[in-house]
Amino acid sequence: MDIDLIFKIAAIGIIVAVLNQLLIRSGREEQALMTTLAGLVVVLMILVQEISNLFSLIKTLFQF
Amino acid sequence: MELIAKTAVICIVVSLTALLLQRDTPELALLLTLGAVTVVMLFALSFYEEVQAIFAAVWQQSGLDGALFAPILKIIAISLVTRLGADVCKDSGQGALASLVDMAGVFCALLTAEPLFSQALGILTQLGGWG
Repeated sequence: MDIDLIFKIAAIGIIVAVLNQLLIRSGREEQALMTTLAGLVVVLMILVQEISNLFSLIKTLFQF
Repeated sequence: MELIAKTAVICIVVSLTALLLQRDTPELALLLTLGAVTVVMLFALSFYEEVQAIFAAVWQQSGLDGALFAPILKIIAISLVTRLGADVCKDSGQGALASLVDMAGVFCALLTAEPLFSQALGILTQLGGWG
């Protein structure tokens, strides 16, 4: 089981949440939004590959 | 046993982390949940071949046509994907999208089960002497 992936996403989430708070408190709301967006794109790029693997496995196993 | 223990631990840890992330970045909390779903499902499906072998043996003993077994497998896959997709949509607060996923799943399952329906109808017609 690829638990590293979950930890990677959790770490990115926590870092983004902390940066988000810091930037909002220092009055840079637009930069905070950009940070959140960047985190979202990075996590999505990691996840899309895994979801594609999952669908391929389902197709193979269930004889689609 | 290994599967359920690992799944339970991962789900509890991910739930806690998602709760932490929910306050500041709810979108990343949802992605974390989606990642956990993907990883655990990939792991769980690695045991599927053994389960399928048991199903196939039971099916063979029942003396039914093997071609009827394939639609059932496909419907299991459709229901798994539908359920997970709808629940992820519900978690993000999009009830309408969840209903759409459910509806698409029902249509796909009905289309996949069509050979079974027509075969059952054929048997009924023969029994009733209407054919």
